[in-house]
Amino acid sequence: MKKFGILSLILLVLFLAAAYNYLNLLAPFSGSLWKQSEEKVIPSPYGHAEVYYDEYGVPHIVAENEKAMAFAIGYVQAKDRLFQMDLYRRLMKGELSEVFGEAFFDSDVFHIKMDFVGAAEASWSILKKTELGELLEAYSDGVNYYIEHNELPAEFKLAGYKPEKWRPEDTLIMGKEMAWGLTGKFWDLKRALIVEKLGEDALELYPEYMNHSYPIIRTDVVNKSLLDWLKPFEAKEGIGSNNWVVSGKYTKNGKPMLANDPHLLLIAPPVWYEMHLQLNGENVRGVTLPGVPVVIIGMNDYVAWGFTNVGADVIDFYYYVWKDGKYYYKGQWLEPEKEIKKVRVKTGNGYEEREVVVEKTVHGPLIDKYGSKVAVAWTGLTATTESLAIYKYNHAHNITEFMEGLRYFDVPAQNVVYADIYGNIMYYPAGKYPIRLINGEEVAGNIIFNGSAGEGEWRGFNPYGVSTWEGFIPFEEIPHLINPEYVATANQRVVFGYQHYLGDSMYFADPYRGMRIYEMLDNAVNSGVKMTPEFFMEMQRDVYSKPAEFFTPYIFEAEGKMSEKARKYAEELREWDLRMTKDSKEALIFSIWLKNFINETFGDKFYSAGLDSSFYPHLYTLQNLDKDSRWFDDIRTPEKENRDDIAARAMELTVKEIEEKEYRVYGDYNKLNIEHPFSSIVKFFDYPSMPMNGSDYTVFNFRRAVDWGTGLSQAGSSWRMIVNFDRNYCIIPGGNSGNYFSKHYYDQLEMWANGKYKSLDFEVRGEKIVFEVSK
Amino acid sequence: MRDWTKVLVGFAIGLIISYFHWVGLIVGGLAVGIASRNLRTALAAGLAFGIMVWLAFIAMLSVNGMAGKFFAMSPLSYLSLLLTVVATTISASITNFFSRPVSSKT
Repeated sequence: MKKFGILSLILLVLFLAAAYNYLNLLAPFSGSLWKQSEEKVIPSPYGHAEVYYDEYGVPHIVAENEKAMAFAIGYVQAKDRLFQMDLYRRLMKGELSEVFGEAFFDSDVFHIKMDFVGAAEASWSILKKTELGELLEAYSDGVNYYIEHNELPAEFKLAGYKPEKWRPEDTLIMGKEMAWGLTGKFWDLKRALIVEKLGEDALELYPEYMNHSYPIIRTDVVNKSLLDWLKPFEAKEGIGSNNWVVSGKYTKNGKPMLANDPHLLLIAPPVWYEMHLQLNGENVRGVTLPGVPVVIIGMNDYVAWGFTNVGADVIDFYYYVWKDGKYYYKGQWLEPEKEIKKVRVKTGNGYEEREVVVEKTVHGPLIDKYGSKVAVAWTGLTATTESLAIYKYNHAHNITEFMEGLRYFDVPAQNVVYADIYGNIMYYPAGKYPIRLINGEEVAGNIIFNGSAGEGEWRGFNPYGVSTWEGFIPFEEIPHLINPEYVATANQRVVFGYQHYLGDSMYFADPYRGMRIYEMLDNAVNSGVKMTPEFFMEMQRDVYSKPAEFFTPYIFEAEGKMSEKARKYAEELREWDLRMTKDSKEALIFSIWLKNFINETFGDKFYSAGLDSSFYPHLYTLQNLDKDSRWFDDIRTPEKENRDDIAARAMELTVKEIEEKEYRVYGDYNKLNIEHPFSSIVKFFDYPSMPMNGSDYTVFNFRRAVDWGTGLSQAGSSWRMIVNFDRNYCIIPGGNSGNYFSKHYYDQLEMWANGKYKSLDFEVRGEKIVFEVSK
Repeated sequence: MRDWTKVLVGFAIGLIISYFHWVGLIVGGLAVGIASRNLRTALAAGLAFGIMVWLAFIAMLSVNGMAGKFFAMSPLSYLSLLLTVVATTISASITNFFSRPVSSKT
């Protein structure tokens, strides 16, 4: 029988050969997938530090000096978010296809052609000489210590690769990634295509200014009648945010109060990483991007600050006359700077090396569009110092020191709101805003410029080098407010009547959230009731729909053209409180109707011209179209439709969709589905699904389906923060740990979804890790 | 030492080694195979050993509050069970062939 034994032996050998990697990964107890880093004492070349993980997995880091602090931050961020850090680094460097396959090759080509790495290296060339330089080195050492001595997160094991060493430039590329995500818009190109496909007349849908009464800086007294008097503009948006700050004159504890909730992609793990740093008895706490060692949004013992995206136009495009591979520029033929970069691509047949040609003109990198080459100038493609600005915010003791930091904030231009313990508040949309000139006259930047003639170019801008910025709006001239009574920003236009171009209406958000926030603040101020953190929580939880207020009358007006069943649905909206709550049937009807109303209004014209829904104008524009506007006419029918026809048709489609999909309430439709980057392969990394309150246009912001160009994703409040210096609160959409088996993987998710908060305090507590001085 | 005692010792040795490395699955499988009277009991012992190691692992995960997340990892969680029992069962069959003649009686 020995021959059967030999057969069994051969079978075992074959099994081990086939299953070797799986056994290493999945064997009970010893499988690498189950292993987590348990290190409690870590040698640090920079000095003593202690990390305490609290009940929500937030690290409280106490260090004897700044470099020891930076090393410890690097270590804990790698421990909690290393895969996320590496993923964004690979995205920006154009290295995704090396690990995740050729489906990502196009993404790599784009990012390599834009040369974000070159931009980060330019930033490092000036930052390494500042106080931040040594800290970024120490931070990188902390990350690399973790990579070399600890278990890698599960994602690396499943994808079968190890991260490269972290460098200071990688930290700076994280900043470029966020900046590009907020300001890298191709609206100028899309606008040119709209004109080509739909004619100049179509620009009526995209005016220079949206005619509303709620800019951030208000120059008029606002009342209800003004609210009702709302004209053209603002609509569809990808991402946005809210923040507001109120003087101590209107608060219960007499100190200023500040709130912020940036609306970004909802992803597992979350965009932000929360941390508390204590150095020499001084505290700073808030959130940062994994890969960045300073608190980006938060507070210290003296000051608090928050951001929303200004959305200004800080990107331009240039075309040229070309001949024999040279471009014409101000009287001479120039050779574009050319570099061939190699990309390693994982394919079905192993690895392949492919070449990407990177070309640059005097204005910036070249990208192909419409069969011709267009150069891109973006404020982030030069040496920028926003990380130094944020470092200075972290250490600011007062408004003067904070403003010193503001001057370094280049990109992405942010609506910064500020409050301090001395009672000061401030609004400053800090950033670099280019001034475009043609023949000496200032022009808007929403066109494609003639690069050969040197039109619209930014003086003092040196792509991939160090800029002098003289052709940009001087810091002092940026419209701002010091010690107003209160101010609110929600990505709406900064101010009307400003002397410089900041962006046309498509660069700014619909005014609905801004309106609602100002409405609530105005009401509170007028009522004389002093504001508390609980009131700010109510504001951040607010789901009142301004679009419902403006659009439901259109539904009622169209009832005569609806079927009996559709009319019955429309009638249900009569008694609605206009709140987008998950248990509301009215919110369900309105939400689906609005989606259909937009598509039925614009779809026929845009899609037949080859333009998809991303080209649609703002919702506010649609709201203010005349009832008999030509945009309501369906070009596919011989009849001439008006708003009532389209509103009625949208309701018929709504009834059909609700009944076919058996939706009962809004929460059946408006569901949270936060996905991990591996979601298309395995689902277990995704967060649990749950019904949600809120919509694209409510202050409590939840966008169930945002087109990110690579499919639909969800967006919403990525961090909610309320500060009044006595009691401060916060929450993130998920958990602080990116490690699947951690109890902090999504321990804040349900609280976040239900509008609850945890304390944002400076008490050092929890499970301890020690960093000891190494020789 | 009685056969079942030997099997239990094989279980224990295999489990201890498995805690540190999956080679323990092979060693444990071989050990319980040697201790078994015939191929049928060897296969049964190998299978039982694999299931026991896997259940011990689940117990450890439960204590650490990780069992729910482990099962949510399907199919990886069940692939882990499959790999375990295949490794232990094949291993158990090898030594039994070499150590004893095959018999259908116990």
